[in-house]
Amino acid sequence: MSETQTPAISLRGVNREFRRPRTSLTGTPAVVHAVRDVSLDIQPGERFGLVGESGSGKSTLLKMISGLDRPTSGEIHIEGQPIHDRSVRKLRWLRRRLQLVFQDPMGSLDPRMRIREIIAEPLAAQGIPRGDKINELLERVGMSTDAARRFPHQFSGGQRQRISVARALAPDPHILVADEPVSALDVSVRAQVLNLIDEVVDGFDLTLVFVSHDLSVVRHVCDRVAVMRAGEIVEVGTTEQLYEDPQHAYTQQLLASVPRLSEALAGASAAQLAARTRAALAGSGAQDEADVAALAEEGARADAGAAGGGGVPAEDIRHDRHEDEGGTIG
Amino acid sequence: MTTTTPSDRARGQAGNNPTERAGSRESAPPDAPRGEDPETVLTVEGLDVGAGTTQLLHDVTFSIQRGERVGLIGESGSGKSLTALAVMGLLTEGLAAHGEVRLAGRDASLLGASESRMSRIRGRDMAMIFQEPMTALNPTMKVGRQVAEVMTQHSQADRRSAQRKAVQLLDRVGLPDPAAVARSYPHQLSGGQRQRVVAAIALANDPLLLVCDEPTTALDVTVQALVLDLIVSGVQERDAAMLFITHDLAVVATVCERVLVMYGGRIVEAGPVADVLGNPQHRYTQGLVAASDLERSRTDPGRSPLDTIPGNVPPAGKFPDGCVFRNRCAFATKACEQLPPWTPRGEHPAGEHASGYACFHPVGSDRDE
Repeated sequence: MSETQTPAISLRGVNREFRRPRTSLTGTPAVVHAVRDVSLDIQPGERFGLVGESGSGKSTLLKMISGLDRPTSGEIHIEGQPIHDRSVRKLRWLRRRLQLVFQDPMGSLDPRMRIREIIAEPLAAQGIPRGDKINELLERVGMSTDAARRFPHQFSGGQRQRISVARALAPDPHILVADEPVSALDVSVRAQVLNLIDEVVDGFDLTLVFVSHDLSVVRHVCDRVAVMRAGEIVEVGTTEQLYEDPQHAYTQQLLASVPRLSEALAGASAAQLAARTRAALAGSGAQDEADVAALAEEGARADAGAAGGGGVPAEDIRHDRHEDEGGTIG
Repeated sequence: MTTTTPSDRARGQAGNNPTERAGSRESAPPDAPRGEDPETVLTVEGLDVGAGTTQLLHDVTFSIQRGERVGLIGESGSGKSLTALAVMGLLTEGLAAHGEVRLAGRDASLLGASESRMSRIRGRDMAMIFQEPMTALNPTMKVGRQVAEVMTQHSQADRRSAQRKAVQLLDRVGLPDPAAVARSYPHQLSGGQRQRVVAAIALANDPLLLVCDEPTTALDVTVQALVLDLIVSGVQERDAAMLFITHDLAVVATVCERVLVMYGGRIVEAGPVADVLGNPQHRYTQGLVAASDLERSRTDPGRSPLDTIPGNVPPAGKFPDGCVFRNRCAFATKACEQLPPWTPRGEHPAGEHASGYACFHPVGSDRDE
């Protein structure tokens, strides 16, 4: 993949708008810009992080990269192939190249399927013979092979997330997209899953797109990070640049408001944290928290729309519902 | 509350006497429980909670002084929220609680107290802030009325003056244009604004004790920083005691002075934040602190995998006997099949349970590392 120097993922002028539900019979419905004019190249083998607060548009962007949603305008190429039209043939091809791991490991595994079937499903969809693959994958993610005959509810959250990773690896993808994969996990299990993601990205030579609201998790995992706010990417840089020397006021604000254990143990109080946050807020142009909240709410509604809620054209809802369930449609 | 032992029942009746309502925080009431330090606001002693034959909390003992902010940390399923609910008298039907929960100025244990008695205490002497502000607020009632209601419920305040005071309270929790906020419904506010409203309700009657259960977990980082400050300053102004539940070590270290670490329904370590999180003794606390250390960046040279605690948190009732952590602990020995005794660590004014640990092989004890 790298010999051609084609970016693993390339976005050009990507926009996504959602129509708000009508509030009056005469007025035109309001439009929410969930993603605005995003252009971005992610190189093969890169570990790319996407951070932002709720409603920033990061999940909508991720859905479009993964072929689960269609941009209103703009182009998305995966390994040089355009996928923004979301033709069935392209999506089938895409699922072999790009796989997903979701936040909620219970919601993303079918409770009525045995683990064996869950991991085999993407293989069947792609017409890949399963052979010994299921046992190999289970071992690869640190699960015993007995797990194959059991059901998702018999596992803890961390184990289910391991199973999700095994399923994602089944069709030998080149790109792994992880949407808040550790947000629902406890600290001790979070460390295990982060180590696992580390291992498989290195071991399978994957390109990683990692979305999180948690800046320290992204810092630990990624080489390069983009910060999103209100649908726009406000800053992109290497992890080092972004965390050591943030340029955009919003990045500075996010970093300022994260409580840190080392600082707190050295005596930093809640009042000091809040003062630092307020100073950064003033710098980033948001007048106060209400502004931040207004932006977040706006985006949250857009996200709700993206998840198949109100305001989305009917045909889109049909597609989204279907694909959101498995995430392995081939 | 579902179970009452005979002695609880006797005490519950004693609770109906008029001195109970007279309990004020300025002068320790003459009937303060067993001549305890009048500065102690909350005492929890030997609290056990069980569902049928499954025991969920074991012998939970701690106390909180006036003006003290105490954190309660642990992973999901460790019993943090259950402890808070037992203190508040909000355990669901089917859960049986034993032991004692005493609040300053109340001469009887709150465990097994009647609902009518608890409802007079809750919202006035102790209040709670929950994780999800949308479910804590009534969606069909204007915000101002909800804040006013908690005052009219617990005092003689008439509706009009309570409404006026509600607007002042909304102003004091930092809501812009409090009069407009008072006239809005919860769904018209953002998550952070709703949590501010919940804080205003909790602080309306100047409680002795504020219990917070993950109050900022659902909020974005920026809003979290501001809401934490608001809660801490509200508690400090009133010199109230606070029990703050979170799974986030950085948050607890920012907000609290002392911390209790729970695992498997037991308190395994307690003490000043700097001791417990800076220099943990219990092997579980050590593992927890190490696993949450993400400060090594991806680009740091020599970045190694994160430290982990092997295995998973067992489901309720499936924790080993003896030391609850022994099946995941690299240092466990035969000795750990027995329950480790509480080892006090240093002198603490709030007693030996305020600082110490329950571990046979504390950090630095054997040839480890």
